[in-house]
Amino acid sequence: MPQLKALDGNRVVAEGARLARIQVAAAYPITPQTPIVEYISEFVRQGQIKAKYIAVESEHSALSAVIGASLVGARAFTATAGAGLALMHEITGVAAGNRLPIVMAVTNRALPSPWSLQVDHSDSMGERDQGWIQLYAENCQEALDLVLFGYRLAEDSRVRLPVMLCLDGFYVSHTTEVVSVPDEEEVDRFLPPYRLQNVYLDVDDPMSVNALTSPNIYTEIRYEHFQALKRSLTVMEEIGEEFYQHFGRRYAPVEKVELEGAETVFVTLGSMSGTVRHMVKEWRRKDVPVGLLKITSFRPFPKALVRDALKEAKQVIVIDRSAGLGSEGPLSLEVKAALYGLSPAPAVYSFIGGLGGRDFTLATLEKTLEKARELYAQGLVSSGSIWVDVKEAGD
Amino acid sequence: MSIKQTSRREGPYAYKPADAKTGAWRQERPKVDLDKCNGCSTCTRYCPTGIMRVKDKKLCIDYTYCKGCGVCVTVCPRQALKMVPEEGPSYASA
Amino acid sequence: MEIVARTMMRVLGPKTIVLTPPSCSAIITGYGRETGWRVPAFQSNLENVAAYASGIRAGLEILGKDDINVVGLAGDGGTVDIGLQALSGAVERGHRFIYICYDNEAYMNTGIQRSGATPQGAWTTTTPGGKAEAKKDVVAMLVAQGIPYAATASAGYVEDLARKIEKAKNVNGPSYIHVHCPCSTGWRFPARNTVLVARLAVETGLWPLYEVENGILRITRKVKELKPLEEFLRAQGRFAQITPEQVKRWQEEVQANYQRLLAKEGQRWN
Repeated sequence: MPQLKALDGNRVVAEGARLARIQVAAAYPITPQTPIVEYISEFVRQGQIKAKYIAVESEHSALSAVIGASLVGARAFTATAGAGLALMHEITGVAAGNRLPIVMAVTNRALPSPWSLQVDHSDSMGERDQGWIQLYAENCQEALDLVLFGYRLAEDSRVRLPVMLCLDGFYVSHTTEVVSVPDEEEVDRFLPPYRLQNVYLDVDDPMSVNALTSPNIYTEIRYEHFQALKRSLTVMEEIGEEFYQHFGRRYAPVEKVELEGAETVFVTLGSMSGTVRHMVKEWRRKDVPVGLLKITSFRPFPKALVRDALKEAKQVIVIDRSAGLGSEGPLSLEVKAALYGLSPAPAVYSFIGGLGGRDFTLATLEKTLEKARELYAQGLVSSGSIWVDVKEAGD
Repeated sequence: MSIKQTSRREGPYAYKPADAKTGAWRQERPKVDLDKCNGCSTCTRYCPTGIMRVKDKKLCIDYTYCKGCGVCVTVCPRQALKMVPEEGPSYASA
Repeated sequence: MEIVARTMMRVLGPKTIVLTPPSCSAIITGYGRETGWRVPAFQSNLENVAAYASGIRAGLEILGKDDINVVGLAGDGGTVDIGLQALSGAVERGHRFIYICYDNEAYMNTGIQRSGATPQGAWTTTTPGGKAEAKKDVVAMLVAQGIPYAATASAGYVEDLARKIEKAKNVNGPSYIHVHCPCSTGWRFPARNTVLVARLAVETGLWPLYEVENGILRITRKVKELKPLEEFLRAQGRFAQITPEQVKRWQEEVQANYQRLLAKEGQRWN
């Protein structure tokens, strides 16, 4: 029987890892992920997880060790945040390029500099082209569920890709919510044991993995990877349905909230979706025709689904929790690309806010709606990213 | 919509045993004096290319891969090996 | 390096997983769809051989596959410089793996750039006037960490190397073998002299062959009368710029070090 418990984001990730029966975990402590590694160490000690926990000496080694374990047939897990993920960057491409079904939890934290301990999506955005599947959890329930969902998706023979599960640092990782912890037996029915497939290190079937390639074959290997990411969207929907059958909660690349008749649709990632969800309810009560399109899968970006969901809207408000320096917010660029060529197309207004842990308040949200309407009234159908919560000089 | 199951391996992996005929690289080849050779196998343990073999207490050299580095000559305890210029087809065995 | 690789496989056998970083040894791991290993092998990044070894060993252990060797074959660059963190971490955690460093005293695969293992006075492309700094002693670092087995070895003495690899194979923890591995291209001498140059390093006392087993030192090849260091230096073009004064100073250092080592024989290293 599933159990209702009051747990925080870090704890539920550890629960998810436990339920997923991970066999090797290697992780390095970094705020705000540290409780994850602490819980896993404790679970291993108590025998709740039958796994080896490697207290590695850096994040770079954490992912390397996890890749090694995965290659010999162990279900492997790691977690990190912020600068730790940046340190891992040299290896994230190795995990994805070798098509290994690793799940990594990232408690989103701003990348330095400036230094911050708090939430910002710049860390995971820095990995967006590495070839991982990137899923964003809105709350603790999602954080737990997506660990299980993640392994099932990653290990699917049509996918074989690592999954980065992003949960907002502190806002989700350290916030206690009531979650339904699935029944172990039900999880076993949903997630079968990991078995070696594709490329691996097995003395009974030797091969050399990850050797140098020539221009002759590099492109094709990369193309296979590209196709796998594309395929994974459809597989995600299938598994989402399966998940619903087992646990009663549905996951899909996007979630549509009150899009019926919505003239203005917000597009968000992570915990901010919860804020917008609440505001949408309030606005709708006052007959303001707004809706929310929550993106769960940022990679692969569900272009067709987004296009379809937004095509009737007049205005789209995209909120990025990362700066997208040198261009626009990364989420807004994806949305604009998804809508390209639509005629008529909704106006897309890109906002940047909530950086470095700044609370994205209901008041700030109101401001985005105001600003979008203002621009729309002026006939401007797009904007470069507007930094909506910048303090005025002298504040 | 169904996705075609793919059972082929995807990713950077190597499975074909490399078989470059490195014998074509050499400019000189080792020649063994079978009267001096007593099959001690020292050269087999120092040959970087692993082309030395002792059969019936005498040395056999696989010239298909011998690169002509000359290390064998320097380690033979009986000076039974010497380098001679490479002439004729490179792959001919001893 | 090939001499080291072949000796390694001769001793370890087919139930072995090999790790090679991008380096000279990577050429064996292969190119495209071709490989030179008949055992499972994986190309790491330059600095994380030991981290992969840790994860592989943990994976094998949790799956109950305990009869498989895990060995890293890395150069000096990927070990004493960029690889030091992962190596030190893996040794501290005590994973069962063998780390063989073939020390050709520079980043040879990328064209002879200096590393922390390049000896003083040696020419490399990035120390064209001869390296000013002394060679890093990673064996001493790992022994200080309490590694159960560490040894020096030489491509010039393959039976000594083979014995040490056999010992390493049976250690229930990490083991480290630092193999002096002359590179004819980088050290500037004819390829045929590879073994001779390696032996000169040992016979001049510059590269003593020893092992430290659970902290106790044992010299595995005692040289009765040390040859003059000059013989080793003059055999290679990379030391062409060394002055007689430098040779003299170095000779004294080598002899003093050798005597110190002899005195420690049979005792705790530190």
